[in-house]
Amino acid sequence: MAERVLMNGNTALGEAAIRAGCDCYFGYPITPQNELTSYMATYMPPNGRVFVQAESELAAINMVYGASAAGKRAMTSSSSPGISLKQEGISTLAGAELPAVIVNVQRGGPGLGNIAPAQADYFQAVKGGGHGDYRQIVLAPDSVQEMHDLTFDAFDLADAYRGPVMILTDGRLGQMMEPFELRPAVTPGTDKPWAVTGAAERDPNLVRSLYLVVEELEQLNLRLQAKYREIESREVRVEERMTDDCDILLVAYGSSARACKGALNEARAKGYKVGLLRPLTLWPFPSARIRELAAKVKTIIVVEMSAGQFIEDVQLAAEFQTEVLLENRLGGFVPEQRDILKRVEGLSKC
Amino acid sequence: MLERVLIAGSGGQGILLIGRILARAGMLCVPHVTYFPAYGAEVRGGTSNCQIVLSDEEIHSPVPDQFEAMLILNQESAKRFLPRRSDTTRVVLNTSLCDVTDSDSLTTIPATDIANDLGEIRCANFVMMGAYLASSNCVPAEALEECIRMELAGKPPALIDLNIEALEIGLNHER
Repeated sequence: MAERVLMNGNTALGEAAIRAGCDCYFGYPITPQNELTSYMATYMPPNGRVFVQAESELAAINMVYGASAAGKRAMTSSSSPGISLKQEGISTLAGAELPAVIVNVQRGGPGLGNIAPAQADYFQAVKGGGHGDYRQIVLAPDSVQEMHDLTFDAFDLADAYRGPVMILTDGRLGQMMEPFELRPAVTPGTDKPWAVTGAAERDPNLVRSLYLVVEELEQLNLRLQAKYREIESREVRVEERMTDDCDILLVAYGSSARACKGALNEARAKGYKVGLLRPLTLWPFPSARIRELAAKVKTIIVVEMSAGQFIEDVQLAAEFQTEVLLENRLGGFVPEQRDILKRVEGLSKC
Repeated sequence: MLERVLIAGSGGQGILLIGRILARAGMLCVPHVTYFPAYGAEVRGGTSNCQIVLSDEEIHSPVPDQFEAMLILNQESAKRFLPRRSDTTRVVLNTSLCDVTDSDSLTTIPATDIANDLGEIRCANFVMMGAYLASSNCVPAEALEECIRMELAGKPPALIDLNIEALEIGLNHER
């Protein structure tokens, strides 16, 4: 039986990275993700891995670029303001088709904001915070167990599709402790014939995102777009609860989804036919499934810790088949179970 | 079973430590546990608090809006959190540092004075935890003692024993 331990989300994620074969971690401190950087500082070197506290977020993401180009599993982590600083590097990783894992333990914004949990970096994560036509896979855990499990997936997806993968979480999931089952360590099996590992006995490889010849850059973009369509067709992941017979569909991710799970149980106990769809992948987005459910339900309530970002993707997917309402909190507040329940009860009175 | 616990005091009183130990002990005997610390800006002398939920059912929020129990270690926390208790909240109040207004509905214990008498003022948190365990049946004292040894592994054995002694004094304190 797997070992059951009690850790907070940040450290559960760090332990998963080590077990997933992360060779190099580069980071710069920021609350509320510091336990992750601290955990990597403590446990990477004794495991024969590389830990560097970089001089800045920019340095850290570019160190990830270097390590990844050399064929190593590399990651960085930060929280909202620090992730903004990394955007140029993320775009460059995407352009150079380099695998990387980037963790954003979101806090309240804009600007330096505060250190409370938030989901206001949704647009930045799923629409591409950096420049150019690129996408990154975005994974959204809602428990400490998933902070652990999805980290293994993040490294595998990054290698499989050769690009940056973001784990988009928040201060509440990073700070809270919960028991979870440790997954056994794995040995990464991905062959990386493109990596710059020394060309003494082969033709040299070149890793770059600069293509001055327009035909070449168009070809790169077409290849990237084909890859993104493949990801969209293969990697969408959702959790659904009681969607078979629901009239009211809650759609939420991360900490907001946890509050929805509580509201769902309470609402069902009171006789309201509520269901929940929770994307585990924010990109690729579960548009097809939301479109299907939108055709059946009377109302969709989107619950988010941002001012109406996540709801835009739900609205696009729902294609005006049903009303889509927003229930949200801003600035570091997490939506409460009772507020979501009140919203459900209010609807039924109309 | 649902036990939502708030522990609050000042930075340096070991608030987060006893919270983590309670969560760890809870994990040994309850299916679902969460622990959530007030994080970031806390400093020695400032305020500190954490919230623990022990439950038979899946826990949706690690930050509850109601509590079955509150452990209040200083006056600032009493002012801030006592208004949030319900009629059924069991409160353990450190009377060494808190003004007592309505002792009838509270478990009162001079935890800091007791810890001082033991020769280690920093044990007041475990005196409080003992007094809480006496009023609660969700975590057996033995499980908590085991977790004190786990959490403080590597600390001087005399200090660990002293903390367990403080816990037992709290457990057996006449109220």
